[in-house]
Amino acid sequence: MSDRRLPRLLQTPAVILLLLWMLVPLSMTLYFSFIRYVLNSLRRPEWTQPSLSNWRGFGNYEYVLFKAKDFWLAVENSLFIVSSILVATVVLGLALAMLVNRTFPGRGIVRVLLISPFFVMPAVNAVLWINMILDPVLGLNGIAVGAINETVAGLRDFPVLGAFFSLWPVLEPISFRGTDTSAYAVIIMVTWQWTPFAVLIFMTSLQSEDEQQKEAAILDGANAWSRFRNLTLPHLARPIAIVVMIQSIFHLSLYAEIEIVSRGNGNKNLPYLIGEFTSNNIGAASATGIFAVILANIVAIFLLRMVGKNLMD
Amino acid sequence: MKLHNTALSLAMGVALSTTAAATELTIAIVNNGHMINMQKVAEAYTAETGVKLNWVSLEEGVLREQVTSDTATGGGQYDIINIGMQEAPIWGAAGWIEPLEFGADYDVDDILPAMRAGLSHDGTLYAAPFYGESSMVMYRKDLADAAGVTIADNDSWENVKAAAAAMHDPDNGIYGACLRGKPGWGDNGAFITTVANSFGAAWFDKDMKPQLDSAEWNAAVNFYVDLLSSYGPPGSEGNSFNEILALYNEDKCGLWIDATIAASFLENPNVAYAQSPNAGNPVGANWLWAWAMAVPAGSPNADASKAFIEWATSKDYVQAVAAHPDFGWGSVPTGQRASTYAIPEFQAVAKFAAAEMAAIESAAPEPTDLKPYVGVQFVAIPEFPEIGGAFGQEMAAALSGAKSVEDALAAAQAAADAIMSEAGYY
Repeated sequence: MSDRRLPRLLQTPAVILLLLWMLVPLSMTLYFSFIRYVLNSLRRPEWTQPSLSNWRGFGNYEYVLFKAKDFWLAVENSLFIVSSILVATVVLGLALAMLVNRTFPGRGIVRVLLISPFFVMPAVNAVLWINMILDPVLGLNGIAVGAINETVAGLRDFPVLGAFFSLWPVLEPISFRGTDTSAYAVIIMVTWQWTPFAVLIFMTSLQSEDEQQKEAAILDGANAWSRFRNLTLPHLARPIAIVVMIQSIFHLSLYAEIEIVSRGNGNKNLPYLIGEFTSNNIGAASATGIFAVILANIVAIFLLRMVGKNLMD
Repeated sequence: MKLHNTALSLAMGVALSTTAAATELTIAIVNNGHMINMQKVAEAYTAETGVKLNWVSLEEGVLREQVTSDTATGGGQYDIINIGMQEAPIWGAAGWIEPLEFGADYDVDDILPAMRAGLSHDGTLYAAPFYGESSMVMYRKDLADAAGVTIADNDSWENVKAAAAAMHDPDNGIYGACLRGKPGWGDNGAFITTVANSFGAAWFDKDMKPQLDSAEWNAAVNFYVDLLSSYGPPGSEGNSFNEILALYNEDKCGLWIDATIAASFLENPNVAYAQSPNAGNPVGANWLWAWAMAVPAGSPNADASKAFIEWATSKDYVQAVAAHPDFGWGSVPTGQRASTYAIPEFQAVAKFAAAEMAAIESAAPEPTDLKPYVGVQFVAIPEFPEIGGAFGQEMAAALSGAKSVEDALAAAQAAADAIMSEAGYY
């Protein structure tokens, strides 16, 4: 026994430090979520100090769930945004990785260009997309729609074809800051940013694929789709699981893109809702934080199972 | 140059009498033009007094978040903070910031009465205004003339709508009215509240019960949504000050109702000004705002901080900006002191000055029977940022057509009601 005691003793400080590192913020959040705690109050100054005498049980949770605005919208949107981005990045990432896995002139440059969106900072990404590309007046979106309308209007003057083009509608550019569209703007810009990450991971694992097996499959007369379906995809199962897991962790906590696109109008998630409460109501913000931890854990359980299964095979 | 030097020696005298040499002050500022300029102008202050200044320049929303949490918890990161009219009276009441008293040379009565009222609590000044603003109509005179319409001071909303309709020409990329739609209490919330004020609506009744379900609010918001969706640019729900300024400078807007400070950034020479439209309501239809400087309570450098604020918000500071080689009379901060408007050199470069002054003078932040709370385009209570945020999102939803005006106002009313009862008002 003594030969195991020393290493354990030496590990203890690190383990205690790690425990404190995790436990202190979490238990403070838990504590604040059960008391009345606001930054400033004209009516009830006693609520501005975090104290046990302001205990209110599940009151904050009740407020967040049933009285305050947008809790369920935030949960739905969190899941909608994360799952849409996951599907889009994995599909696009697979397709691009397969494409650039072939040899062609300029492959090095193409790969570098492909990876580069990943190095743009999230806030910069959002500002660029929403102002220069998606803006319905000054952005590419508005300019392109204007140009199409002008071309169609010009074609209407042609003798025979004109009648056909006069049936075409005048297009309206989509406003990506609107209530119904802002979540899509976030999905588009985050997908643009994170597809390179998926490409990078898939590209490296494609290079470890067994070429002899592929050649044998070709000799056996398997077509490209069946080679992809039966050889490449199983080979990529593990990297796909890793991409899905890492991205879920990152995208559950999206904030900058939501703030810049529409300030939470139609596209808020749980972190954004917490941010709204922190302007004064720390108790409600903490209760929402606990919900966010629970949601992240539910997602993590599913993901770990999936990844775990893949790693076992 | 002579005045410039007097300013510095005066400031030096104040600073030396209160602090030892080599004091360092950390100042949190909002990244607006006037504040950025102050960093350069204040180099002379450091040279004369030896007070070293560390600037932390932040975007408006981030600044509010940082400064609020730091001040609320007594963090002590900053010696001087930039706050606005929403914060000053309630933070003063909570004892978060120090009361400000300056010497006779400072001439506190020169500060515009509306500004003093908005930055005070119980008659004590808690923040000194660095610059102030109201809102007004800015419109393209050439387009209005071509369309044969005019916009008068305090015109009726119906006339303004008719003018917007006459200037509206989307096929040529010109939109009749550019107005704020981006969610936020300081964004679309500020503008819509001024429209609502002019329709006779108020945020709360005298028991602080939210009134967003009133007929006046309904009429005001219906008018706003109708005006902007008929004659506004596409994507208005994403536009606030900076976005509209970009559109206006691309010659895409007919009329714009926004902060008076915008006038100094407009590049088109054909701009004319008018006082905001009103249906004859005494609260008026223009807003009132000041970016001001305050000292967090318990700051160890409180005396040196107050000395700096006294210099930076003085008449002499205005002269120092005008005399600075990089700036001049076009760059002086406005809206804070009556004396600035009497300076001929300033009048010569600022053709919007008279309209700005009139707008500021007509706005009253004090509580009245009609509006039983402090504030014009906001309410000076700690819960308002949260309420105004929820309201702004609902208004953007109404503007983008995802909700009817009635549903959006009902949702905003429910949110405001929940927040107010949670905060213990009733």
